[in-house]
Amino acid sequence: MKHTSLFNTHKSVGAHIVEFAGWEMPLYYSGIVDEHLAVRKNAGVFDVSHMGEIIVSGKDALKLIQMVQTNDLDVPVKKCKYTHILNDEGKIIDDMIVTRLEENKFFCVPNAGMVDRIFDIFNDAEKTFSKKSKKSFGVDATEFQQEFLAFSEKPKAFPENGKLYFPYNKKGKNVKIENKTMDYVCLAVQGPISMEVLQRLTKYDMGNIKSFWADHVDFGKTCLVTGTGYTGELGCEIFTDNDFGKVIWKKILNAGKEYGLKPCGLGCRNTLRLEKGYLLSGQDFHEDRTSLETNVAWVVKYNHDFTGKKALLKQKEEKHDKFVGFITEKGIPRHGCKIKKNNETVGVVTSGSMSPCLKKGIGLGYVKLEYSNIGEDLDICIRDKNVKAEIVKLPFV
Amino acid sequence: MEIKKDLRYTKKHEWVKVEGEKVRVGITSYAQEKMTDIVYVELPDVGKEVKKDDELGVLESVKSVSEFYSPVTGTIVDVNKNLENSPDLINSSPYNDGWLIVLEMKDKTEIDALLGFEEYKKYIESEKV
Repeated sequence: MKHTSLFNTHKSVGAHIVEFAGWEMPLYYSGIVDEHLAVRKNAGVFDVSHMGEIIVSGKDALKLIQMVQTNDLDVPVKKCKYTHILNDEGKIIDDMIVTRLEENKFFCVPNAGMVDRIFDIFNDAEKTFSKKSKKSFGVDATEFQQEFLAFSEKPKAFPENGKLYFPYNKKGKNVKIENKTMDYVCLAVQGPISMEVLQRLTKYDMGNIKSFWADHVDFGKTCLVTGTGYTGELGCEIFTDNDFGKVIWKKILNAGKEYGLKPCGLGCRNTLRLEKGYLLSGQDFHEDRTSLETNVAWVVKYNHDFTGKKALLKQKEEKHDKFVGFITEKGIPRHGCKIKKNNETVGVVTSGSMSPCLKKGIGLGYVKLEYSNIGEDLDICIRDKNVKAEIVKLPFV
Repeated sequence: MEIKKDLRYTKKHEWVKVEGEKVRVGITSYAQEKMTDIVYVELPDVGKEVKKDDELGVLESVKSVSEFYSPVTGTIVDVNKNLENSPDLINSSPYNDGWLIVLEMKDKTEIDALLGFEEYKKYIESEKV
């Protein structure tokens, strides 16, 4: 079982621990609902160091990223983008936020359970485009030259004699893929007063951390801060090393105490994201749904080639299921419950809980296109009983 | 976490309080803590005849669904209607206001088979490891 560097800190304050994707993580400290409401009203800090950190760098970094990501990552430096990685059938393998740290450096944050898979996908992609670039030259190169060609764009001439050579870096590759998951602590600070609390810990103007933009912020040590999160509230995610992670966790809790900031676990992280209609990897998709079926079809940009594009172009012309949110009259929908219309199964629930803000059962799931309109009355089959539900506009809150 | 000396217990973490010919049933503090915030409760109908270990109803927290079971054979004579609107009573007062049902026992000797205070205490210690 893996542990974040804050594990003992969490245990010492009595956090309830749960196993999640091979990690032992805090489920809650004071209570799921209590923490949920603290984030909506004030702020909360989450240790989400189980999330992956994969860094892709080098001259061909953008090329590799674009090959596998549905969204267009040819963005300005410091920009963060939410994006999907698909298989050949267009089915979602994982979703993640990618930040362009430098012109040739991308910081990818895949889900905890998917890190190894994504790392493999990046490495496989790197191999295929190495092969492709050999062909694209159309030069009749020797085996030896091909080795170089694989990693270079065009031959260059030596200034002294005009002879051609193929530039390459020492490792012979123009892209480096590093899995840094165990080296990083990631803390999500979320809630309406989250930035105010963090402002007390730095001279940097936290107002510069706009939604989906990143920067380096000195909190006593320089950390990468992204204007991202999974709660739908104002806030950011702080990436730092394992040692400083312990320091800044305490600093944030101390600075936030008087503001009502609370340490929060994965329990409320789930209910918070659910109220916003955000997808949960492995639960709302599990390589069984395409991006077009979800509520975030905008993550697909057809201006570049990526794995699964062909399948999506085909599906675009067809009738397909749609991801919706619904509120139940009574009872709580759960993953796997059937969605029915006139007693016929027309869909399936992928996430559900009691909404701590609405105090009603809310759910997310896929239904046949013709039953996916806002206001549609459906039945959710909970423990063999049909419960009335109505499709509502997302987010719920 | 609190365990009451004057109650009997099941391995599924129900507590049982003998009240003459009847028993009052709830879930233990240990169970409610494990479940986290309880947000929805489904109780059986009054008058229903149940056997020992029958599923009586469902407790749902924000994160999970758990069933609770009949500790003895008998007839449901009362259910805690307050839980419909305030399921959190189970968290705040598991042994008092958060009771679930009252059963009229068919065979009082079934009580003897339930765990006592010390046995239940040992049982949850062993479960924790």
